[in-house]
Amino acid sequence: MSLADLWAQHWFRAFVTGSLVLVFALGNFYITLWLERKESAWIQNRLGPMRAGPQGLLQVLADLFKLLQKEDIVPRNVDRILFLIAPFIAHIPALLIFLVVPFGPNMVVADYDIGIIMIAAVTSYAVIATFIAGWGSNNKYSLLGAMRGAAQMISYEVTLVMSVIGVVMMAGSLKLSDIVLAQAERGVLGWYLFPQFIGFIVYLIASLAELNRAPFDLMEAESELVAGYHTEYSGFRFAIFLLVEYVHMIAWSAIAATLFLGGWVGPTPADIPVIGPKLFGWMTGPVWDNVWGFFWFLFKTYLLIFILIWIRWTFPRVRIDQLMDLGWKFLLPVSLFNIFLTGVMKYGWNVLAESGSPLRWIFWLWR
Amino acid sequence: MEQTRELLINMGPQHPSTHGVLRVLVKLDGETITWAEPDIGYLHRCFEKLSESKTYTQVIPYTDRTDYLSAITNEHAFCLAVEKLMGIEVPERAEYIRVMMAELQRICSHLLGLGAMALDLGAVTGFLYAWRDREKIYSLFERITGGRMLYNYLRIGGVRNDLPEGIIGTPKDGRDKADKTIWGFINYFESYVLPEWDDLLTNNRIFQWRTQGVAPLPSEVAIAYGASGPVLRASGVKWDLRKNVPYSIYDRFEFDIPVGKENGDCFDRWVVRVEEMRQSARIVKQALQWLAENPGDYIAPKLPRVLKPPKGEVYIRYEGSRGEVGVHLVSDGSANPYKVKWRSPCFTHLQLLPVLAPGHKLADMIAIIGSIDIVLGEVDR
Amino acid sequence: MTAQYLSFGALALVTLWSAYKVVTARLITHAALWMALSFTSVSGIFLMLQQEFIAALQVLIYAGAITTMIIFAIMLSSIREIRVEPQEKRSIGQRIRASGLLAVVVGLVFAAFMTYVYYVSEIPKEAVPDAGLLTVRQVGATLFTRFTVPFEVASILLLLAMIGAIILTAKETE
Repeated sequence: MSLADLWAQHWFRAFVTGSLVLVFALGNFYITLWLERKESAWIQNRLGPMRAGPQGLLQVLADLFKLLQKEDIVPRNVDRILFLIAPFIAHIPALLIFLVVPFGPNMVVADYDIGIIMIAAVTSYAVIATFIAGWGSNNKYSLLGAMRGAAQMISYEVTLVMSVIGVVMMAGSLKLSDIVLAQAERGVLGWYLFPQFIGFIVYLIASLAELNRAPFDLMEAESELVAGYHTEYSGFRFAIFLLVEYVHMIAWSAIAATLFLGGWVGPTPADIPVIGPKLFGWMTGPVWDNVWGFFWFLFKTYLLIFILIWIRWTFPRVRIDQLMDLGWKFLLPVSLFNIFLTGVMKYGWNVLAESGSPLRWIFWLWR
Repeated sequence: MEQTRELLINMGPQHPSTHGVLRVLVKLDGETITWAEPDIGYLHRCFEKLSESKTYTQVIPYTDRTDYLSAITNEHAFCLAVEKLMGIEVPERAEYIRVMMAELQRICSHLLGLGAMALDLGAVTGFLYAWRDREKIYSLFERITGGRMLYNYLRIGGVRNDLPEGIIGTPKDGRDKADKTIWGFINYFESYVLPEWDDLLTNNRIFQWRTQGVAPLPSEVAIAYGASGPVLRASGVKWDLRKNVPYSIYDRFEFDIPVGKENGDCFDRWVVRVEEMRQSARIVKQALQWLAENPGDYIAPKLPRVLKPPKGEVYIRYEGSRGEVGVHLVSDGSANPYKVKWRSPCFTHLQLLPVLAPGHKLADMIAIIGSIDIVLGEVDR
Repeated sequence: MTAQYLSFGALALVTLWSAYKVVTARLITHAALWMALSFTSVSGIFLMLQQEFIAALQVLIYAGAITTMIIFAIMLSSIREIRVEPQEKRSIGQRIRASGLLAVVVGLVFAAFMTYVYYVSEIPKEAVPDAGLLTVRQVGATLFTRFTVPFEVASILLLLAMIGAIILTAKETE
């Protein structure tokens, strides 16, 4: 059986692409964790890890090995099965999100028509995993953390989906690759970041809350709840929670890059005027397109990750009732208004586009 | 109908936000605190009893260790008590050095208090900035006293040694000399650190959300519970022992007493501390000017090797970093004190916790603990 | 074809087994989690039928929202114990309930009824070849044209239920 025949088989393709997603998630987890430590150090007048490898690049590896070596402690009065499986359930949503993310032109594992709904759906398992961890630990701090987490994630999931609706209205599709293509046609100024600026800001805030990162890291608020739902976890189970947290962060940044920043769309060296085609003309073709697409995708994703880390190390933590107020009383109405605005503007452009009236330039951004 | 049940949780003794070894029992209805009670004594080291078996000079290092974040002020309070008991005249230069050190210590202590409060509220960076600036004060103190945290620098009647050469610096010293000269530090502190605190936290919307309106303390309640220092002033009572009951040479300095509003909340307590640091910097500047203009080496009077104060007792009220430090000293004429009673402001403030906490969220609890700025070493002594 | 049958069999087994565990689990928390598993495997069956939209909704609404709501109710109420103490003496009624006999009987009656309905009604018993995929666009278009009034009525009903729930549970503030 040749490789092409094998590729035609569903199971083989699923296996290969699934493994690639896993590798992508783990590799970026490593880089993101290192970046978080370094960036927090830069913000705080420190150096961060310096000893293990150049610029402390091996520090994460050392830490992970340390966590793997540790004894797998299961406290006596826990709900044993739930306690043991919780980290793995937490893994599901974090990795499933990558299935629908287009890493480049034609680089998407499962291009569902319902991409965004699928993301919203799998995210709900994160709540269940949090609950299982918090409840199974039989610890009051864990339970409080789980309670907060459940409330927070449900509330912000609504906001998150609402903030994305504007993008869906612009692109006319829930499929992530279609959304990228729609942005590719519009050029840099047409990226949904600009017409959907409100949506982008709401998405950024809501995804911070959904990720449980500071300033919304209430469910693991260390000065209040020790470590929240993973207080009782140690060793490699704790490492898996850590992994999940960062993979989630990468996933949400990747989605934001796809929805608002044009995903893998970006200039290639061949696009440089005058000299570009001559010097870099050889850098074209489907393979190079994928390479450049992947590069721009990663670049945008890391830009957003950088912002998320920056925010984390700058702001104090909000309180649970303030978090709820912010979500329900401010962000949700704002995102609903954004949907309304998008509708009005799109309608305005549709009506005026052909008329040639100068008024139509008001609606141009929403074309 | 099924009612929700209260949840009793035990914050501490090992808990990230209890500033030492404090255990707080909290009853929660959902996230709202219905009842809170601090449980202390984990750091009890018999300071008062231990002092009875030491000579007066030997007690000074122990006073360092009560409020270990504000060591100089404790030494100062104790020395004042012994000096008052024996009627010792302190050399003027020593007085100025003492005041300057005490005010630098106040800045240092407030920096940590504010930084720890910021850390508890989740602003890790604020805490590390506070740490960075404390480090500069510590390196100055290290050069002056030889110790970084616990100094044993003040002596009964004076100070152990004069300031080392060049540590005062000139008023032109800037940020690059912040950890080399006191002038450099003060200039750096006023022009760089304080605005940074305002930008990073005081004017931060989230920080204001977390602290404004949290745990308001009416001034009558504050007085009734014996609150003092920044906690009392934040509730709108203009009471500072340095002004109201002047001791040492504080009547020679020009400074203001920052006060909060009538119902001082956590934010007021924060702002009052930040303002106090500014005022302390003013005092330090005035002391530095005097010290630069009046060089000399008379820093401690000649005293007998073993101090035997006359029979009697004395009470000293001292404005420590966290509030009123009271030293009640009883002498029976021997070389050891008959009784040392230490009034600790933190102990008094901690009893405010059951008053302030109920009705607030669990997350406010740590803001309250941070804002009353307790040091468990002093609570338990 | 066999692979499909196998995976369908596995999903169906998981669905049924977890549904059974929902009824028999001793802890209500476990019951809620079994229910989430049951819903998840049902959505797997939808995926096999290539109805991605329905599968996603199944997960979003049932495995996500409904389960979370139940979990929330559990966490806020006083049923917090992880262990259930075994009762020493049971009455006959309790024994019957504990044996699950009642559940089996009710389940059989329900299954019989459903089979009857299936055979009598006009549900197509063979796969409809050109049914096509149910797309989000179709659902949306139908909801906002043909079923606008029912949709709005349902929304208002839900809103009323929400307000009612808030009024019922809100504590009196003096």
